[in-house]
Amino acid sequence: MNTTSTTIEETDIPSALSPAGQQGLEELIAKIDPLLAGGRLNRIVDLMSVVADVVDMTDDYMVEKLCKGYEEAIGGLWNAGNLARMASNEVSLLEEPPTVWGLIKMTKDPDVRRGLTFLLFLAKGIGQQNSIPLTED
Amino acid sequence: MAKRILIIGGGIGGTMTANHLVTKLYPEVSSKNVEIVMLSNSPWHYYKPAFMYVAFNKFFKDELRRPQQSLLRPEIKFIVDEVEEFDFKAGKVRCASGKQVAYDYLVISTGCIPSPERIEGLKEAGDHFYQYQPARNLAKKLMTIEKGRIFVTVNFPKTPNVPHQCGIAPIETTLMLDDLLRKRGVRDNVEIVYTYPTVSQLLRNCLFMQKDTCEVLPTIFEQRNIKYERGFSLASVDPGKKIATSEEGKEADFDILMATPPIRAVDAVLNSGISQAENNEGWLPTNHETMEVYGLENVFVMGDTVDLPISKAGGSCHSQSPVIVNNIASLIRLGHLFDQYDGRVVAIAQMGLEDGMPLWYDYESEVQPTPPNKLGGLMRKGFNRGVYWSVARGLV
Repeated sequence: MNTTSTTIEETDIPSALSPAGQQGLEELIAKIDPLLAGGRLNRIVDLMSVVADVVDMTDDYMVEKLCKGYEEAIGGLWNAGNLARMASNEVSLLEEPPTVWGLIKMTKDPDVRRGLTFLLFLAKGIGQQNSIPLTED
Repeated sequence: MAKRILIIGGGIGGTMTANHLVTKLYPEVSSKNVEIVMLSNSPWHYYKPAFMYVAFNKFFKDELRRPQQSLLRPEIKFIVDEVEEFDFKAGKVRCASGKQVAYDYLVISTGCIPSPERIEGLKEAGDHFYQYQPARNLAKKLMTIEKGRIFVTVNFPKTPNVPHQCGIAPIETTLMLDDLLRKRGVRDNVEIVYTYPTVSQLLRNCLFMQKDTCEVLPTIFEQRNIKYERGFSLASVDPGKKIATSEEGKEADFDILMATPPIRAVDAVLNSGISQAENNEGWLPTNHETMEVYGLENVFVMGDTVDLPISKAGGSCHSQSPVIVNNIASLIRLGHLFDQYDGRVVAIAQMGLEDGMPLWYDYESEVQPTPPNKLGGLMRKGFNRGVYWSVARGLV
């Protein structure tokens, strides 16, 4: 095998390249050579083939379903993170924790009552999901 | 007393700016030294580019909108009310409810309004896809036409060097139309004629507002048997005879007139007295680098309402928004502005029903058209269905 010892100047392909470009190409070929010899570059071609297959197989319906999941996941995490950060900031601004009566007074705020109702409905949903006991067949 | 940043408009520009302001100014926001307030005339946020897809039966209404509050960080105070009057001297706005909202810094992101009534007969006889209901009306016609002629016209604002809404949309929809009619099996019986006005910003007698794209369009159109005509500036439409007449003296008959209509700023901006735009279009005089409104202190403008030669599209807002956020933050923290907009616009054009073409340009360079492909199409569809909402939330 004398392919690796063949200089770039001996081939026709790189004649349009600058000397620096020829040197770069030689270095690149030297790097790729063991990958070709060991069959490892085949995996990259296989991967490209799989990617091309996925692109060809993907249709509008698949994009729609994937993106719905993406948005719900990102939106949910974003909302939860925002609310936790804001609540944490509000607590940090308190000089003293509210008294029990102070906590009760907070429920006069309709937004607080909405939030508590949300939590109670969440609890109901969790309860419903666990309401049917599983028995052995 | 907290400094108040007031954002008018719950479209993509206002929404991403409000969210970005919270993160940029979080030390001031969390210590209650800065308050961010958004005023919008709707509790809903619409993904406006999807109206184009509605015309091709690709989107339901609930798929292209979200509750505005769900897209805003909780630190933002959101008020649903329509701004009727700006009082720049007093630093406040008056709303339709009678409520007055004061501000220290103002961001105007109120978009534009399609106004087909500005061309005689166009509202009665023409169709467009820049709002939900007109797009639905167009969809019904596109899904039922069996033979005839679909005539495409593009109408620029009369203000010199200001583009129409979403520069690439007429090409996108013309190619989508070709694909749709082929799918329906009626393409051979329906003639598509794409026209462009004599004056398109700084160009004359072209097919697009940028030269490089203009030069590749004839090949694309000829491959699809789409007829094209330069120098057709729509002057009037005869709804009875279904004839469109141009300022250049040409007449063309049609079965469907798919028009990019004239546009204008919202009433409150029109009536503000600040605009120097022609034809009562209302574009605000905008510093092309700082995005301030000329002649006003601490007032910024973005998106469709500017008088810049930049596409009136979300892809412009995406690059203008961080500049405005940085400039407001630097005004508050340092007392001066420090960021400049370079005219960058980023988008993925929908080139037919399947293919897409990513594109970008700025004040210095024009769009370099590349071959549209399915991967680009999937990127656009992924953006439509998911990534857009992350952009609105200021995550991308």
